[in-house]
Order: sequence, then structure tokens, then C-alpha cells
Amino acid sequence: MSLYGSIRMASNTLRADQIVMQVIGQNLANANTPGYIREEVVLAPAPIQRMGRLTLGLGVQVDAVVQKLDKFLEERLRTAVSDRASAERQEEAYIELERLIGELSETDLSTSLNSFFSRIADVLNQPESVTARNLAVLHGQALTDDIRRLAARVNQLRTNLNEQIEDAGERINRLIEEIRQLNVRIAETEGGDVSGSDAVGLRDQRLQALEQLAELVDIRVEEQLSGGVAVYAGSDFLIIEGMGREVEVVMASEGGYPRAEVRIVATDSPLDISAGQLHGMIEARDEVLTGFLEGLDDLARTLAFEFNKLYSSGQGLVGHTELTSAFAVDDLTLPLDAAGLPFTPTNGSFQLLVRNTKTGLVQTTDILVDLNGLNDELTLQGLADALDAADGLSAAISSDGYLTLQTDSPDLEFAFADDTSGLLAALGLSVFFSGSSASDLGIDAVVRDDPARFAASRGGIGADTSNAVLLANFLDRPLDSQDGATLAELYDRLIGGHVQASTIARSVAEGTRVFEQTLRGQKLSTSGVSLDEEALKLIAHQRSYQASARYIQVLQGLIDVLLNL
Amino acid sequence: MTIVGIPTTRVSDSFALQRLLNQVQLDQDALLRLETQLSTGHRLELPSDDPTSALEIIGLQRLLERKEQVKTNLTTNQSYLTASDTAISQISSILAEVRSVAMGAMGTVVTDQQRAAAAQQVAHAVEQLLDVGNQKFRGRYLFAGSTTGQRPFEIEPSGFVRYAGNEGYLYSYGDVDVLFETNVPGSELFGAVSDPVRGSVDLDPVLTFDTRVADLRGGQGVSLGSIAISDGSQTSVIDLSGAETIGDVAALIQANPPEGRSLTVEVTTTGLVIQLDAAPGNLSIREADGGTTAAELGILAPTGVGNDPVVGSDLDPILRPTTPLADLLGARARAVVHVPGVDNDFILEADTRGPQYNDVTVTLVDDPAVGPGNEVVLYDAVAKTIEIRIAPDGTRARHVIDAVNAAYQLGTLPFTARMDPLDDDRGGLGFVTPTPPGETAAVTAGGRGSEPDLASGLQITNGGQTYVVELADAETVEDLLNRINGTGAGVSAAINQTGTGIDVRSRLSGSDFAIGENGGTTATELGLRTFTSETPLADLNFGRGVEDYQGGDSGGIDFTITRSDGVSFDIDLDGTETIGDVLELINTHPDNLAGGTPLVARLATYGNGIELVDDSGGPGQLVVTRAPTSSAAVHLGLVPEGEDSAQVAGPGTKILTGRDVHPLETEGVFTALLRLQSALANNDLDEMERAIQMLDERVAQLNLAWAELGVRQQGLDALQTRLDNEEVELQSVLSLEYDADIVQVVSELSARQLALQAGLQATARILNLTLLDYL
Repeated sequence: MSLYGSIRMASNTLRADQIVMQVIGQNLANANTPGYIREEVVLAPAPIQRMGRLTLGLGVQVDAVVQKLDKFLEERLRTAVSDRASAERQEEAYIELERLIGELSETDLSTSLNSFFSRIADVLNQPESVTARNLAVLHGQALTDDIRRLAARVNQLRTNLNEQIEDAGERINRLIEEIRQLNVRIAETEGGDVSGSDAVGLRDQRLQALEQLAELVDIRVEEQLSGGVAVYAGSDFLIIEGMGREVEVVMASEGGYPRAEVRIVATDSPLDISAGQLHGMIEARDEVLTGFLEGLDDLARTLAFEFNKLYSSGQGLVGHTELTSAFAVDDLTLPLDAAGLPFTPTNGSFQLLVRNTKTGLVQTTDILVDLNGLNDELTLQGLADALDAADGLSAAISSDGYLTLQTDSPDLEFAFADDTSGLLAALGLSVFFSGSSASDLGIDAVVRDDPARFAASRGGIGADTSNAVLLANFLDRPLDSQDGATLAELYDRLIGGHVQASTIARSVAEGTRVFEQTLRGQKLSTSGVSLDEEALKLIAHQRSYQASARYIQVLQGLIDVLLNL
Repeated sequence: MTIVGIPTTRVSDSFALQRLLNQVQLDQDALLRLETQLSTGHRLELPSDDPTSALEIIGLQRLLERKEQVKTNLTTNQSYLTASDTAISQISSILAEVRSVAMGAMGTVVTDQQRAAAAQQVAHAVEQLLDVGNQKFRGRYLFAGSTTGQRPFEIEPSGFVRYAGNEGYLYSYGDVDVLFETNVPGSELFGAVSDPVRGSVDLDPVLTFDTRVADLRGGQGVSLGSIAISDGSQTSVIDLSGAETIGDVAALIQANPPEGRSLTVEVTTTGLVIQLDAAPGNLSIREADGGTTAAELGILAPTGVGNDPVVGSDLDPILRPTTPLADLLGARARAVVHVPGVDNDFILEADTRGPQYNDVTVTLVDDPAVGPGNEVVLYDAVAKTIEIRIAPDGTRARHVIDAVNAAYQLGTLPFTARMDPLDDDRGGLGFVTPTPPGETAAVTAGGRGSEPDLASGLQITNGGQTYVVELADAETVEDLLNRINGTGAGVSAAINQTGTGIDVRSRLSGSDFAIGENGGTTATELGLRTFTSETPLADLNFGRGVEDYQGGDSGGIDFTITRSDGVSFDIDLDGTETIGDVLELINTHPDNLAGGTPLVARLATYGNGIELVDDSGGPGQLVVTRAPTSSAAVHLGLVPEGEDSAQVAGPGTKILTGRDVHPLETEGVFTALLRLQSALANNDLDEMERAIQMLDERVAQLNLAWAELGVRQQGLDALQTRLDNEEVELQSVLSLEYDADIVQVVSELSARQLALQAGLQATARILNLTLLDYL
């Protein structure tokens, strides 16, 4: 032990203090850097020296510079980020959809529905007026336009989501590559477990990259001995040390809806995820939007088929002279309930009325729609033959499976009545709505071109308004195909279900946000820089530095004393 | 948004910053939301802000939108009803005026000129009424029934008034589910359509395979559910809800027997017959779902019938436009021949209606001399047997059917054959087997009624003309109706309300209307003849009846008939009540029967009236002479008005045809006025009185209709008031749910504002504090 030894010890102290100052400076400099993890110098008493019976301390030594980081909190935070990202993505989709539906406003679908049925009620007020009938047709057109537009816009949202999913795939690949590279560099820098210090800047970057990845997909991160991390999505690993797996986005189709799917290239299996933005987008697309589209389709189909079933049993102010079915059958020899029509007719019957416009006399023909599941089931050919056999009407089937009816003389017109089978609606003969889904719903060209054919009557061509009485009240009519529910109920169920789900999604998103914020607060508490704390440390080390310098001065004095002896 | 809690460990600057930032954002978000509420006036921005309220609001908005339409309905239709009301008041005053004019012209001291002037005024009133009746309001003929584009009243060249509208009502919604009538049909107001000629005959259509279930039980239909059929051990539950026709019902039952058994089902002319196969068992039929299907189908047999068939009750189908005339008025006897195996059951049916072909036994007999395709059918009309000789092997059902139909063509057999649709698989390719000795294959049954005469047609007299309705090639009820409606006779024929027969009504006012025979019995069989044996004498001559002279020198004799052989006899109508009584009185008069060929009194073979047929062959002429004190012969139509006697045209003529003294008429305003007009012209006091009486009845009817209209208008007013109240109510509920409470919003806004300010100040202060200042 010598004075020089003491001076060296003091100089060590000075160096340690300088290092601490450096780290404090780094902390102060990054006080507002997002994602920065506060660093701390680990000081330890230096190894002792034995002198005779004495053991003397050798001052202080800097063990390491470490990040103040709670790794378990970090893991929980990533999970919370994934959950929040997924929930927020769904919430966003719900709200976008809610705005599209625009319910509560004056331009929503329920207003179009009501105004359409109101116009039919007006036909009751002015049965002789073709204008009133035309207004009913025009409002029907507006209704179908609204439904189609809504379907198209929701489809557009779906397409956007598919594009975003493609984009997410690219981002995932970028992040995987980044983390993989950081793994390598951190291992190089830290030299495995040899040095006690963390590769601070690199680790910060990797933490941020991991968090970004967690925002996209829910991942599980395991730190390795080398300082690298292994990243798993579900049971598949994405990164192990310096190895990464790429993902790719492929387009598939389900139920007629295109779906972008993220798959791991190496295993060609879909990414196994249950949270994260990507999961949120997939849920938003497949559950929220597709679910709503299916509901809207169901509404449109029900409106078209059930309304048409009623409508096709009625007659207009004038009859038809020619008519072509809106739907074709695939096979003329199959029973009509299995011949590929968009709607399914049942066992029943209807009447064909052929009216002579000169005399006003009507010839009725009963057409039995035998679909009772036993023998002699009605085929399109059978139907054409039965209709053709009626006086004054010719029926033919086109080569592509459409049924065409025409009167034999310009003095004749025809109409249908009392259809208990739904066959006319299923074939699209003498119907109001065309199409069979939300995306192709429209108004049948026959009534659109000649509103006088709007079938308000049930007692014969131009005879009364009893069909319009039923049609005007259609919203409240219990429907067979919906187990007695009405169209109004069906609509309420669609909107109500969506609104409820939207509310739930919003509160789930809010919950995950709060949770994430709480964890983030905890992280900031641990890892964030406190200027006051740093200032305190600064003062403490300033003092210790001053003390050490003074100590050296004293030692120097002692040496001087010795030299001057 | 919520503010996250403060962790207990340590507060870093970035945490403090983050938290303060959150708080400011939270406040600003809240401020903007409040601002949105203020600017839109609505509490909710999106339905999911408050789903419970949102769904209620959606419901309220829909209700309001629909009530809006109901308001339009009420206003529009009030205007129609008010216009109708005005028109009725016009009619009322015109009629009052006509009545006073007519009363003034009825006295005995009235001159011809005065009567002519009165007639002129009546004619003028008819024109005025036509104008009112044809009134158009907002593009609608007010009194045309539901055919509002059709001009309802037209005056015919003959001077009669024809109603071209219908009797339909128009409806509109007076509330979401309340319908009200928006018109008064001219037929009701003016009495422009006659009462129907309503046949007492039930045309009784037979049940066929294609009869719709909805048309059974007098049109009530059958509420189809499930039935359970059991053989005593196994039960089969059959869902019949998809059945449209009785054929579907039969086919579904036959296709679903209890397990291990088989059922044969027949559709007879009245109902279903269900039979279990020959093995022992107890056939029972019950309801399966607590419904009334089996009961309504008439086949309920809960305790079982053993091995007997369940014979269903009469299902009484109604008449439809498409019902074939061949299926009316009685049924043909028939038998379903069930042969073991499939695709080989066939039906034998008699070619004419009536019971005479019931109980004919059918047997199938092997005959080695017969080969497939040349089977022999032997019919014994006396023994009532049909024996079908078939080849020992190789005769198919189709061969038997051909053989039966060939025999029918040859005239050796009054039966035809066809496949049983319930066993028709490929058109009868199944083999038939001989009937075991001592048994019969089937026995015919179900024949009833008799063959009607639908070929000769009928005569309709209306508007002064007679129209012959040919029915020879009419096949369905609708053909029949169209033939009648297409005559141009101003009548409308339709199936009656109960679906049992045909109603014919006249749409002409002011004219006599009658339906008679055209040489046959068609009108009578269809129940349409207006002059029948059952017609009460009191109804003749528009209800004035027939005078029956009592007492006096001649002992109450009303008229005398003298045959061409000189035999004459006196007729006293004492005790007669109907036309039939009069005919019988003449036909059974002792003097008529005493010698020579008796004279026959009958209903006219063409048209209507009483016809006397004199085949006594004497040199004289048939003469009917009225007693000086009795007008009965005139009233019965035998002697023309103003004459003392009637005789045939010449010595060779054997038939004296009387007038139709039971014409009908449309009892209405126009008839009353037109009758009055001609009565004034003819100075016919009786007729004038009758016309005025009819007019009075119509005025009473009119007042009823008027009052009813007033009640309806009042009802609409009440609806309107209720609607207005309801709307206010609904709006207030809606406002409660949907509208922002401005006071609350504004106070919240200021509170938030203060909070934000305080937050900002605190932030600034906290951020200002730092130890670094003291370094």
C-alpha cells in the first residue's frame, strides 16, 4: 500500500464518477426519447488487497452499465399491445360500418324501407293513378339502390382490409428481418454472457421492433443466453437467433368473398394468431363485415322472395302479353325445387288467368306445382307444357333454361293468381324485385318499364287493391321463411345485433387500451428517466468527484511533504 | 377514456408527461363530444353510444315515418269521402223532388199534359242522377266500386241504365294495422245490381284427385298438420303440411304406412278411404300434434276399426272456376281395382252419373285362350258383373285398361278405365293377377244424382231482348260463367259466396230480367230458372200476385180452358200457392181426365211461362177464357193484358204459351225512376204506386248509406285526432331518448372546460418544477 496506490484508487473513483456522469448525461439526453430505457451504472467496491493482517479496499469499480428494464412487464406489455391492437382494429371496423349504415339519420335503410311501403299505401289511396304506382316502383328502386350501395361499400371496406392485410404481411417480414439482424449484432456486441453490460442502443431498437411486431401479431418472446431472442407466433417460431421465417400473403375465397391470408412460407400454413392488428383485421373482415353482409344478404333475399311471393299472386291494371322468367334452371328434367333456382318453391298450385281485353272475359287454368317429394315432380318442361296447354298462351323454354310466355293474340293478356307454391317468385315470373342477394337486388324490368302492371289487385286484372293492402303491410307480415318473424324484426335484428356487437367491441377496446396504458405507466415508472433523480445522482457524484479530487490533493500534499524531507 | 393509475414505485418524467397528455386528450375528447351534441342537438352520435336507446329510437323513428303516411292516407281519403257525401246529398234532394212531382201527377184529376210534364221531369232527374253517379273526383270515379277507372253508369240505346262498375270496396290504412273503406260502390248506393238469381240447387262438385285442400269443407279448408296412423303395434306419423291437393294427402298417407305394413288409399267422389293390408291389425288414425287435421279430413278413428277401412266423411269441396262441369250434379259410380304389386292398380268409372251403376262387381279371371294385348271384358247389366279375362301370365294393367276402353268404344260396356294415380309408376306396366275364386276384385260405388242436361243451354231475357246461352261445348264452370257474361245481356254470373252454386245478377236498371230454358232443363238444373213450379203465386207480377176470385155466381171460377175436342173445364185457383199447384190443378182436373187425351199444363220449354199442350185432336182450337170477375188468367200470363181470352194461332197448333209473369228487376233508384217514367206515360196507377214505393225503399237505403258514410267520416276524424296525439306522444318519447339535454350539456361543457384549464395549469406547474434549477 503506497500513497501512489491511494492516488490510483482515487483516480479510479474519478473515472467511475466520470462514467456515471456520462451515463447520467446519456439519460438526460434521452429523457424524452420514446422507448428509451433508462441506464444505470453498476458500481461495486473494487477487489480488496491483503497487506499483512489487513485487507484494504481498493476503492470503487464500475461493474456494468445496465438497462433498467422489467422483462416480465415487457412480456405483459407486448401481450397487452397485441390485444389492444386487435380490439382497436375491430372497433374501427364496427364504427366505420355504423357510419355506413347511418341508422338514426334521415338517409338510412329503414327510411328507404318505410318510404317504399308508404308509396304502396299511396297506391291504395289512388288505385287508378299510374303515377302513384310509378312512385311505388321508383321508391322500390331507391330502396334496392340503397341496399346495393350499402353492400358495395361494405365490400369496399372488406377489400381495403384485404389490402391492409397484404401490407401487414410486408411489415411483419420487415420486422422479422430487423429483429433477426439485431439478434446477431447484440450477440456480437455483448459477446454472449461474458460482459455484464447490455448492448444498450441495440436492445432498445430490438425492444421497439418487438413491440411493433406484437402490435401486428401476438408473439411470444424468449431471451436466449446469447442475448438473442426467439420469437414465436402460436406454436410456430418466426425468429430464432439469427434465423428468421418469412411470411407471404395469398388470396383465397370463402363463401364467394375474397380473403387475404398470411402464411408462413417455410411451412405453408396460416399464421397462428389470436391477437394483434392482423388478427383484428381478419376478425373485422370475417366476422364484422362478412357477418353484416350475410345478414344484409339474408334481408335482401327475404325481401325479394317473400315480397315477390305475395306480389306474384296479384294482378296489375293491365296484364302481360309476354313475359320471360328472370331465373333459369340448370336442368329441365329435374324437379323445380332441385333445379338450381336461387329460391326454392314448395308443393302448391297457382292459377293462370288469360283475359280477353275485348270482351273482358277471363279463362282460368289451375297449375298444380307437384313437389310433394313423391313421384311425378314438376319440372320446368312440365310447367311449360301445362302453361302451353292453356288456351291463348304459348310457353317455351329457351336454350339457356329461361321460360318464355306469350299470348297468342294481341287481344289477350295474362296474369297469375293465388300462388301457394312460391314458384312464380322462384322463377322470377311477374315479380317486383329482381335478383337474389344484397349485391344484385333490383326492380324487375317489366314493372319498371310499365308501372301500370304493378300488381295491386287480387280479384283479377285491374279489379281491386286487395294485393296492395297486403303489400303495404308487408313490413309487419309474419314470414314463413323466418319462422314467423317480420321483415321489420329481421331488420331490427340485423341492426340491433350490429349495434350491440359494436358497443361490446368499443368497451373491449377501451378496456385493452386502459390496461396497456397501465402497463406502459408501470414501464415508464421503471424505465423512464426522472430528471430530478438524475440531478440528484449528478450532485452526489459531483460531490464524490470533488471529494476524490480533494483526496488526491491531500495525497499530493503528503507526497510533497515526503519529497521535501 | 380513463386516466391510468399512478404506479406506487417511482415517477419518471416521461410518465408524468404521458399522463398529463392523456388527461388533456381526455378533456378535449369530452369537450368535442359535448360540442357535437350541441351542434347536432342529438344525444347520440352513433347507435353504439347507447344501444338500448338507439334501438328504441330506431323503432320510434319507423313508427313516426309510418304514422306520417297514415296521415296522408287519412287526408286523401277524407277528401274522397267528403266528395261522396256531397254527391249523396245531391242524390237525396233530386229524389225528394222527383217524389213530390210523382205524387202530384198521381191524382185522378191530373191531365195528360201534366203527366207528360211530370214524366219529362223524371227523365231529367235520371239524367241528373247519371251525372252524379258518374262523378269524377281527383281522377277517380267515386261510385264505380273498386274499378275506379271505369265510368260506372251508361245509358243504353234502349233507355235502360247499365252499371259497369263492380261491388268492390277500396281500402286504406287508418293506422299501422287498421283498414278502412274509402268508397261507396254505386251498386250499393243506387241499387244498380239486382239481387242474385240464387239457385236452391247445390251443384255439389265431386272430390277429385286434384281438388285443393283449401277448397274442402265448404271452402274452410283443412288446417294441415301431422296425423298418426297405427296398425295396433307400429305407428307412423305423417306430416301432411306440404300437401296442396287431396291427391297429395292420399299419396303421402299411402307412402308412409306403419312399419312393415302397407296402406291403400282411395279418393272417392266424396272423401278418403284408407285400408290396411290383409294381415291382422287394428287400423287407427289419430292427431299427432294436437291439431285437427285428421278430424277435418274426416278420417279420425282413434279407437281403431280393425281390418275394416276407415271411410272418410264427405269433404264437400266448393265450386271453383276451373271445376269441370262433368264433375257437377251427381257422381259416376267407380271402383278402384287393387292388384298386388306396383304400377298395376286401375280405376273403373261409369260413363254416366247416377246410382244405377253402383254395386257392379269386378273380377279378373285367367283365361288360357287370351294372350297379352287381347284381353276380353264381359259385362252383364242384369247380374251387374264385369268379368275381365286376362292372360294367365303377361297381362299388364295397361292391357286391361286398353281392353276396357275398347269395350266402351264398342258400346258393350258403360265403363271407362284409367290408372290409379296413387299406383301409377310407369303408366301401368305392372302385371295383373286373377281374383281368387269366390272373391271380387272390386265393387263399384259412389254413383249418385242423374245425368244433367247441360247441353241445351238457357235463355236470358234482359233489356227487352232475349239471349240464348249455348253451353254445348262448355267444359268448366268458368266457361259457363263466361258464356253467360259474354252474352251482352247486361248480367253478371259468378260463383256464389258459399261456393255451392252460381249467382246471376242483372246490371241493367229499369228492365225486366228473367232466365228460362232453351228447350231443355239446363236452367232448372243449375238452379237459375226464374220461373219454376216452386215460384209462389204471390210473387208473380212484381209481387202483386194473382187474383183469386172468391164467391159470386160462378162459384169462384177464375178461368175456363176449352180443348180442341170441345171439352172445357173451369179452373178455380182456391188453395193454390205455387205455379206447380196451378199446373197440377189443370193436369188433374176431373173434366180434363174424363175423356180424350188430356191437356197437359207445364212450364214453357223455351223461355218462361205456362204452356198448355193440347193433344186431344179435335177440330176446334185450344182457348183460355177468363171469368169476367177474375183477372187470374191474365195474372198467370195465359191471357194477354186487356183481352178476355187467348187461343192458339190456328186449328193445327197444339200449344198455347203464356207470358213470363215472374220477371225480376234491379230494385234501385234508376229502376224506380224509369218505371215511374213509363207508368206516367201509360197512366198506369198501379205501376206508379209500385215505383214510388220502390223509390221510398231506395231513399231509406240511401239514407242508411249516407249515415254510414257520416259515421265513417267521424271515425276518420277520430283517427286523425288520435294520430295527432300519438304523434306528439311519440315525438316526446323520441326527444327524450334522442335529443341532447342542452342545459345538461352546457353545464357539463363548462365543467369540462374548467377541468381542462386546471389540468393545463397544473401541467405547466409540475413541468416547471425541477431540481436542475437548484444545481
